[in-house]
Amino acid sequence: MSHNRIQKQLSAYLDDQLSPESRARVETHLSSCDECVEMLSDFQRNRQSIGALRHEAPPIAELVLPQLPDRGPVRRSFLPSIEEIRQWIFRPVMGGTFAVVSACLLFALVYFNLTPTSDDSLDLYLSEHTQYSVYYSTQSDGATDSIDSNGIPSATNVEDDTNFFLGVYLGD
Amino acid sequence: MYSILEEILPAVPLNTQVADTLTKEQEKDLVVRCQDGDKHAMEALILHYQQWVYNIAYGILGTREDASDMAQEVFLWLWENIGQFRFRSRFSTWLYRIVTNRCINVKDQKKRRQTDAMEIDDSQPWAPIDTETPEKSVLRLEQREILQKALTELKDDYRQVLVLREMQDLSYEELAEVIGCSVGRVKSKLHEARKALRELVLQFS
Repeated sequence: MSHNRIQKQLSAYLDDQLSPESRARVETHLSSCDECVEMLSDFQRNRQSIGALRHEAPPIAELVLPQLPDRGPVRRSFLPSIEEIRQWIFRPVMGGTFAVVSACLLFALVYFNLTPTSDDSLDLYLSEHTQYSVYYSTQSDGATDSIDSNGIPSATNVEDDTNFFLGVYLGD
Repeated sequence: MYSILEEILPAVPLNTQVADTLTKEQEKDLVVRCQDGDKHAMEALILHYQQWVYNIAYGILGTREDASDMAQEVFLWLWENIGQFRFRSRFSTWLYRIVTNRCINVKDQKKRRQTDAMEIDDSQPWAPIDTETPEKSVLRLEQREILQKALTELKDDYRQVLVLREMQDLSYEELAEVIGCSVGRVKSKLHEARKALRELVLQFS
């Protein structure tokens, strides 16, 4: 493993957050790298110094308790606070997901609003035409006679088809 | 402190260890009572968390006075707004998040008001941890001043993660909840923060 990658693991090493294998790799590297040893030692020293900033708090309870107003039960919130929503949305992964989902929804909204809805008369035509085709093929004594070699109905059949549709559609 | 906790939680024999770490059930019980307007429960919560809240505020804000004001402000806010806690995480995690966010907001407001670096709290120097020789004490004070200066120069999110980890000893999982990111991100952020602090300390030394 490279020096830079090991260096990035020093912090986790200090906190004992590495797997045994990674820990062994870091220790092997430390035995031969003065720069990393120095960095680790500085991390350790700064950690102790920050820890040493801890000290006894003033009597906060004594100061706060007299200021607490009497009150009954508070209204319990079941909805997330604005702060929680903000934090949730601005998480890097959630933020990306939120952006992609929003973009998809926006696209879908625009797309389906601009696309005309299906035409009822066309639907009716198609369904009647299907029924008619079935009827015609069972009634005629040779459906294949009226279809040419490319599978296209002959002009006479198309005309009959149209007349039948108009009859159904116009209610004759 | 322990007598109040014993009074509030009579079922649990309290010793130092229990008082230092409330169980999830004890914590929940206290919060529910606070939501119902029980001041004794609020007192127990304050006594339990005052040290932590104060030290986080101290680590981020840098002065005892500001930290004390912030701790009081947080507990007063908590009394009015504890209904916002919905038991979806540990109460302590929620409280840490509130404290750190409020501290960072206050710091931002201060930064806007003053362009100078944050003043060192000369009037109330750090309390010595143990008895030291004068030479050691001077050296230690000097190191602390350098560290404090470096901390104030750090980015807010770096300072937040360092204070919570080094002062409060929060686990990576707890840090992830407080900060609102993944454990992996905590790992890298902590490394970046330590590296940045190290560079600043070396620069000021």
